[in-house]
Amino acid sequence: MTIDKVPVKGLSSQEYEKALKVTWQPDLQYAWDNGIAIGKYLEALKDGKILGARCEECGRIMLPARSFCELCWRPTDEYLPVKDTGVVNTFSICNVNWDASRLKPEEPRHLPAVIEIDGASAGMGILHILGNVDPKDIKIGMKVKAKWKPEKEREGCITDILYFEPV
Amino acid sequence: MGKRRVAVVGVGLTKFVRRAQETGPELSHQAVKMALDSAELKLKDIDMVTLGTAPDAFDGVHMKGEYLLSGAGGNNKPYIRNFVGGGTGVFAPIHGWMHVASGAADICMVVAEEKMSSCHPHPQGAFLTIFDHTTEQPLKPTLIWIFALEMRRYMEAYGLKGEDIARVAVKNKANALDHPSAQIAEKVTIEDVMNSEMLADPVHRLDISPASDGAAAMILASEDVAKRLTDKPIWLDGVGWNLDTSYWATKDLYYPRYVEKAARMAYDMAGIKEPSKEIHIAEPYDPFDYKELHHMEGLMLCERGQAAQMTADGVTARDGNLPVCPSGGALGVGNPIAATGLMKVIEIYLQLKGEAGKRQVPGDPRVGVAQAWGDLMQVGTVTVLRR
Amino acid sequence: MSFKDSVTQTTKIGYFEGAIPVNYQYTFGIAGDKFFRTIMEKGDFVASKCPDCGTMAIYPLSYCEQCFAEVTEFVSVGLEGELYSFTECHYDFQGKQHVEPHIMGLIRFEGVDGGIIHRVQAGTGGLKLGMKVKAKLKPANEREGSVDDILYFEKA
Repeated sequence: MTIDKVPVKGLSSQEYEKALKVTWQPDLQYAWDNGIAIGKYLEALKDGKILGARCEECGRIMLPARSFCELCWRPTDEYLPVKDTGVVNTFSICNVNWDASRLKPEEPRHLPAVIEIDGASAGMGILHILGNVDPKDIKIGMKVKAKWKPEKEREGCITDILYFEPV
Repeated sequence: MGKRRVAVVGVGLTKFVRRAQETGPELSHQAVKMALDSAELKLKDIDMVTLGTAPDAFDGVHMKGEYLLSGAGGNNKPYIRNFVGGGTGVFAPIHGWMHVASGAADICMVVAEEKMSSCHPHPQGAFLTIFDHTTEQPLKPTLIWIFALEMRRYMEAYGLKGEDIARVAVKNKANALDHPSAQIAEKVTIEDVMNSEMLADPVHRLDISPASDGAAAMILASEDVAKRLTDKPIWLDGVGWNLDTSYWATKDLYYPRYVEKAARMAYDMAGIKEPSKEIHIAEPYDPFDYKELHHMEGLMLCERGQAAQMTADGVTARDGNLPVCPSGGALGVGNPIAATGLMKVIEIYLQLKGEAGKRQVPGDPRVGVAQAWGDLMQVGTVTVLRR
Repeated sequence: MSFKDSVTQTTKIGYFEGAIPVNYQYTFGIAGDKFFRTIMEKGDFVASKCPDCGTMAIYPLSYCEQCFAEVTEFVSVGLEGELYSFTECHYDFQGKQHVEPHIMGLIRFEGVDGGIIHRVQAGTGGLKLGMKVKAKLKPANEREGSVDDILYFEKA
């Protein structure tokens, strides 16, 4: 039986404005426990370092620091700092905000990237943003280094690294 | 694997729209009613119901499964909601398959629903919490970042240009002109796609499927019940699903290995050894145009890096050797997340039955694959149907 | 697997704060739209009525919960119902104490499945389960088509 007609019509944006609705702004606030590993990761960021964790069995040095190796299914053996330099694995030049609103023409573009961090296992990337670079010049494979906030401004947060910039 | 053979015996689908007046339960009811009518069954004939719907945060209703219950026909029945992000729409029939193959039910109703229009300022905002709350959210990420990052990596890995990928959007939006549920079917050119607003390099607005409201339903039955209901049962012969690491930045994004693993699981079950030769028709998930290519490779329908060339050569057109997304996909029909995945399984069903109307692919397709994907670049869900 | 580290002082647990900032607009749906428009325009309650099994429902539905038939008929039931149950609320859902406690009741209508949960005014004489209550609506020109068009239920 071929489907030729389907139910539901949909509303135009004007019809939608006129339809009866109820609006609600939920007040959803959270305090997420850091756990041991991320707690140490954040403390290390405050200290100007990126912290990884090592599993002896598979030999990986993982980012961010983890309390257990999810592949070998055993506790990690050591927390250790890795370098704060890396290589751009992929990147984008973004013109929209989280709520789909557009950046104003005078605002600088957002430059998210996955950066493979030196000292961690191959392919261990973290999400961060690039800065102090002309978007036209960004290339996959580009070497970058973390630009840290001044020590007294650091809070123990991923934004203690302002951005990664070309070396 | 599995005790009993399972067949698809009825399907239903609403239009996919940007904003529906109907509530979620009303949308579900329309799809379920259509499926029951198509199989000439009544609600009392249904033993169990499984409903797939993506995050509660879209409809803005906590415990969305229970909210949709009576509209999905689940009153006083064994009913459960399933959810695996964007992969939900193809996981829902897999879940239904479990109900029937195990012998727990003879007839199972599978429902998929989404009402994204409730979420303001934009449904994209509900994805803010998909990123790690501590190590990623302070960077103020947006959903579109992960697609842009993955698309660029894919293009770099194979030396592709935006135009090579835009071809998929052109094909699917045109295919959708023949689909009654289509939300944004239109004829566009590659230039139109490349000239549309750049949201996050390299993703243009026309590379993306829209947010939508919609519902779909499918009835699964055991072999002996199916043979009583129809002389042309379409068998759900292969199911597979696989999830990859939560640490999405630690794997190379250019290849969806989790789709391959899910596909292998489904192909093994269905006895398929050479998918590029044995699969006649495919509906991979295409929320972005590059994802169709990405998933074609994960489904092993071609060699890695070859999907774009196959598209350029016309192999994946409706009259090509391996039609891909003859429905018009998410890019043309719309993307009410869970309902989209089920819409794709429904398309394979209709095509194998010869009942796809104006979208019917020529030749005599006997084996088809439908696939969905989701979460934070993590899940592959795959179903193989056979006549 | 047992971990090598553990936290023994709860004051040393760190946490990270954040919020989920989206907001929602819910359409009432086909049946819901009819129900609230009728309050707004006619000052009356309607129930949906199933053409196959006759089941009536408040809040009205476009489909019958019992037999799944499509429902397009709505029947006036008036503003008077029965107080099926009630309770006195002292705290809001975030745990803050109300300045004045208030009463919420579940009101059912004769021959109709379901009911309305809303505020109830005790008045002199108090409340009893099963007593007849009637909805007090906002004046017609103040109604907006929402559950707040009903101010409260009181002794009929």
